[in-house]
Amino acid sequence: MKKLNELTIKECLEGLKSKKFSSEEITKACLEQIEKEDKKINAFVTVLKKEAIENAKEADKIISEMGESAFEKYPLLGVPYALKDNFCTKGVLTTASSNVLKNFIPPYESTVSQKLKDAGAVMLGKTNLDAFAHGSSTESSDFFVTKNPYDAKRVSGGSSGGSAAAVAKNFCVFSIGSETSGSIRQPAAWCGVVGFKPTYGRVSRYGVIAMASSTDSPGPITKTVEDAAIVLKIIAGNDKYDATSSFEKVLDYVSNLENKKKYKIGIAKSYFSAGVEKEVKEKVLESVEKLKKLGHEVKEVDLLDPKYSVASYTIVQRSEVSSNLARFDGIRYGSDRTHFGFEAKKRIMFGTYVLSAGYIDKYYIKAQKVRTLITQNFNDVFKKVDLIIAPTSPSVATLIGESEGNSMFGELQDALINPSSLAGISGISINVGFTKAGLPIGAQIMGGKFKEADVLNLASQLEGVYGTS
Amino acid sequence: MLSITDVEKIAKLAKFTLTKEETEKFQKLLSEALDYVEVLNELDTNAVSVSEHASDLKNVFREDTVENSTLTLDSSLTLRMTKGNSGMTKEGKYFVTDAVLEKNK
Repeated sequence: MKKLNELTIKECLEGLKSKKFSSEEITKACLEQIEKEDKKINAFVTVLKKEAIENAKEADKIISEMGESAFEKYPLLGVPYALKDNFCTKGVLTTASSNVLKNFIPPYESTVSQKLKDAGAVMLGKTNLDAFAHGSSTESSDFFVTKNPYDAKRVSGGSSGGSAAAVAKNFCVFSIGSETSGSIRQPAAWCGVVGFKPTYGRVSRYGVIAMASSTDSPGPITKTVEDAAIVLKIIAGNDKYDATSSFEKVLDYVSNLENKKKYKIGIAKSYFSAGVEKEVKEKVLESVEKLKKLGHEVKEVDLLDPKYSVASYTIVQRSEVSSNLARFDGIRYGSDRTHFGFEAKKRIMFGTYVLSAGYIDKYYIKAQKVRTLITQNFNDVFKKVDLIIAPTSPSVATLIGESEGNSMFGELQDALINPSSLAGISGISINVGFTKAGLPIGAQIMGGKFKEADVLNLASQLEGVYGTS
Repeated sequence: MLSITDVEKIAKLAKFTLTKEETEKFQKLLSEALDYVEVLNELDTNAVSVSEHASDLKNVFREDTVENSTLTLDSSLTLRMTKGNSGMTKEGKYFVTDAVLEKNK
């Protein structure tokens, strides 16, 4: 029988509604697991033990007073979750895993965490990331590396490594990450869980410590695709505090899963070529066969070689980083610029150079033009197919220290994700098996802008073939 | 390959004070990344427009009316002073912060 912290969101809600267990019990089970195992994993920067138990008790009080109708008003009532530490939480330490913000306590709440609070969810704590989200392994965290739950010599992926590891280790029922390019999907793949990056603008960025403002996207990391749909329904929507947040209607992503639609799925040679590890290729191609057996049509499509989007993304992202991190002057908040870690400095320096007079046309403008080509490429492909399937990452979790000295480790690891991030389209990563050494392999499904419902639908069908993660 | 002078110029723009070792390390790493991005020149972008971001939205405005907010000047700064290690103290109605302008000269 599953322990309470091993439950999915759906199972928690069913049990809470039928009074099988209380929110306090689930929350305490999560906290016990954190106390027991997080010394080995280092998923959390801050654990809010007292506050979480108080909030869980409050949730239980509401349930006993209102009964099942409580869940209509508070759809995530009593469900404990972990929040990536680049989301501002009022009165609660928010560090972005950086020494610059080591003591920063925000005076306001991010929209995402406010929405989850309003939905009754219980925040367990803030999770570790690559400092300022600059990285794909949490090795750039100024505090500590988050170890992979499947192999402690390896990284959990990043930058939402803490959030992904926390779900994989059942430290929480679900978590929230953010993705600039790869930072939700890749750690989800490397930790064997579900990671969903919505369309840019689907979820408000208000209160998220900015990395690259033109691609940053908050999103859920969960144990099942249905759980991701549940969370998305709550956090999605227009926000007046984020001028880039979309006015597109938020659909009922959960009930939409019931009708198992048949799709035309694209598969691109350029996403399976040299550089992708053999076992990763094999497992993802196996999943494509399973989709065919389910009755979906699979056809080859022509997607630009990911090397172009790696280059474009490196320039665009690092330029925006240099601009966004200019605010850290040590005057208004945080410590001064001597406290930046090496990776942050490196990216700021690169961004500063490619934006500088005499170089901006050659690099930044060129990169933004290539970005247009990448977006047009996806638009053309989505006229021929509904969705695209590919490996999430060219490799499985790397060894701690393997990335050292690599000038572009983060961007290269996210080579297969960079294109969709630049184009702002949505994508999900789900587990499709393990290597012989027992490391998780993820496949990603990408859809056009605001096609979250279709992405989730297909992902749910594929997950059904494997059993839930 | 970037020169050491190039790296020093960039550091000045980015408001960083680098050690000799860091300058040399950045020289290597930045040059490698710049070499990699040369691959963009394989694509013809003469007739292509710039994508500034991934959204189709333009000019998102709201009415210029005052809204109720729980975030006041006092509450936001007081919170920081009492809980965080901000290194700031208060003198009358002013907040005293570490000097940064002198440091970066």
